[in-house]
Amino acid sequence: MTHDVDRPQRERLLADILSRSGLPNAPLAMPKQTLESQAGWLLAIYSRFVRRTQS
Amino acid sequence: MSRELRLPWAVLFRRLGAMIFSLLASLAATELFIRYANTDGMSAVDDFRCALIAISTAWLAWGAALSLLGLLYYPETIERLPEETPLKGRTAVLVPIYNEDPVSTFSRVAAMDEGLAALGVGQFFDFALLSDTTNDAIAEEEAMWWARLVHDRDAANRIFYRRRSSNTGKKAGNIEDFMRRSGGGYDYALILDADSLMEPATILEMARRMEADQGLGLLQTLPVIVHARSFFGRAMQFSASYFSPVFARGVAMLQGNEGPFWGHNAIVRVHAFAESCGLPPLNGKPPFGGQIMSHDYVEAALLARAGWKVRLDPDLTGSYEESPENLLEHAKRDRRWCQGNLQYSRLLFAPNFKLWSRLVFAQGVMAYVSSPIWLLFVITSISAPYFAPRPDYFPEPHFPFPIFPADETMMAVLLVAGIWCLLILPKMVIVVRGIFTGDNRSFGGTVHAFASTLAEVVFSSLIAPLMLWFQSRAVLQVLLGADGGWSAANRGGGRVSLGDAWSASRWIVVSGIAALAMAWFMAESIIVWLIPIAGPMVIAPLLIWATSRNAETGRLGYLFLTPSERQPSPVLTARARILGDWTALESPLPEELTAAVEAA
Repeated sequence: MTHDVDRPQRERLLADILSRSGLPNAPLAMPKQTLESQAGWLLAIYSRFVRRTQS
Repeated sequence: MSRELRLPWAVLFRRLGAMIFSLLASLAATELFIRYANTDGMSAVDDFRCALIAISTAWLAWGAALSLLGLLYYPETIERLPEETPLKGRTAVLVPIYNEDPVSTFSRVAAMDEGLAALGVGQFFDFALLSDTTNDAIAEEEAMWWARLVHDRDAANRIFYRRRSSNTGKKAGNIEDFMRRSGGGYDYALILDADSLMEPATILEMARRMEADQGLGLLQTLPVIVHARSFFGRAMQFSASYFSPVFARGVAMLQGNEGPFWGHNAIVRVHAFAESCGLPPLNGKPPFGGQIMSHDYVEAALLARAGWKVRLDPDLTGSYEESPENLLEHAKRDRRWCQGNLQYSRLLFAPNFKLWSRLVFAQGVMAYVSSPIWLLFVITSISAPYFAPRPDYFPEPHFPFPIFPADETMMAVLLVAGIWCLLILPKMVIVVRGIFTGDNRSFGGTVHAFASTLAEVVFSSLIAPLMLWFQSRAVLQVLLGADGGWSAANRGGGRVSLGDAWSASRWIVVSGIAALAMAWFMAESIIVWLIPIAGPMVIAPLLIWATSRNAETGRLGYLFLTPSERQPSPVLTARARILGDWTALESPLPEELTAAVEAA
């Protein structure tokens, strides 16, 4: 695609376009969820087992 | 929100039935294999092969069970708004973009917006073009074509464009950024991909179904592939149009309230999504840690965990996407999906997920792990005769005559036939069913549909060994800690030269020749069995090159006909018209805009 506008004009056009774009302002909270694996429990049980057998 | 949704008994029985079917198929395959392998005594390698065949067959049977269930599908009762009740909620149509061609993407937006306006509901639907584009030149084009789009659709304050300076969280982060900034202004968000296109009537119906059922958190449609041109692309397009709807109905039969989310062509309830689907990065580095790559399954599981219904409605047609045009692009996309799916192994035991969501994660992992399992089976089968115990022709002491082991080749034939049945039978049943339902007519009639199905079976059998290797390599790379990154999708990228095909697949050619050579020296008798796998490997570059060629016209054009090719739907036609008009323009910029800036 060729655009018959020179570079400065193109930049002015872009600045003008981008000044009018953008999203509406209506914020909404999006809390992070907990996803870490319960395999941690297995590790804890295994560690306890290892400690007990060592003692 | 936290509420318990009861799983209908019928769904529970179907899930159990599908599992039992898979287990029985696996047991039958294992039994046949033991009989075959036991002729010369079971070695440790045979035991290992036995485990591999059990897992692989269970996985194949699960796919067959979904297809067969799809054939038995009957629609559940769906809550709908009465026809005279107008829509109240507002929907944001989200179009995440990442270095794609803006003319192509924005012309789809124009077609959908035009259709919604024609239905008289344009005021309920805004579009948000969410750019994560990293290439500045493409970003400039995006801004200019956005100006054209807004001008042509008279859509100031209705079609928005924003570009993120940093693409944190990739596509999921892009959507999350929208939710945090602007989600409060909308009831629903229709999540698309850059190549998505949906019938405006379908979009409207989706919003109405969300409004009718206040417990529905996400509603997924089945996107079918359109605009394919190459042999590879058109085979995939046919498969997606002819077989996938049956498969999707099978998924729907098992979904209960925990249906799928495939990442696009789905609508979500904004506040349900915002309160439930904030994805944290996982501990550790990629590929297993860091940002969640295949976010869709996780978001579906999170919505279900929070008590929202997630549903696939197979009756919602008019949902389209595009697909890679050659095997190399397909494998590149698959590499990304592989990494994302293997990351699910981290989430199998995450807190409070529904059991079904965990099974879905396991299926996601199996979708890729099944390839190295098959590969291991092939490799161990080549080496098995080497490890087999020496035959004992005099097992009975003092018995004067030799006893020859029974020939159990028939068991192996039955095993292969059974596996082929699991793969092919559902497809053939779909052809037969199409005769009675009339579905074959939109695929050019039963003769066309049958010929296309046969061609698809041959084609998928030929590329399966190649995908086996590509996927096995991808799994190995992920296990070794190689992060595949996030490459831009190149769905339109077509023809592959023979040189490029050779460069990308010579390692497969060498592996194929090595496999045949090993079999020649170690187990000559299995060469015949190996040829369907090693043969396509040896000619991999030719296959990749030949299937990337245009197959829209000539004799090949008669194969793989789909309804969207034979009779494009209104939105496909509108999009083609707009794309044609825009491509003919000298500049995307409207004259008024250029003049106004010049004057200033």
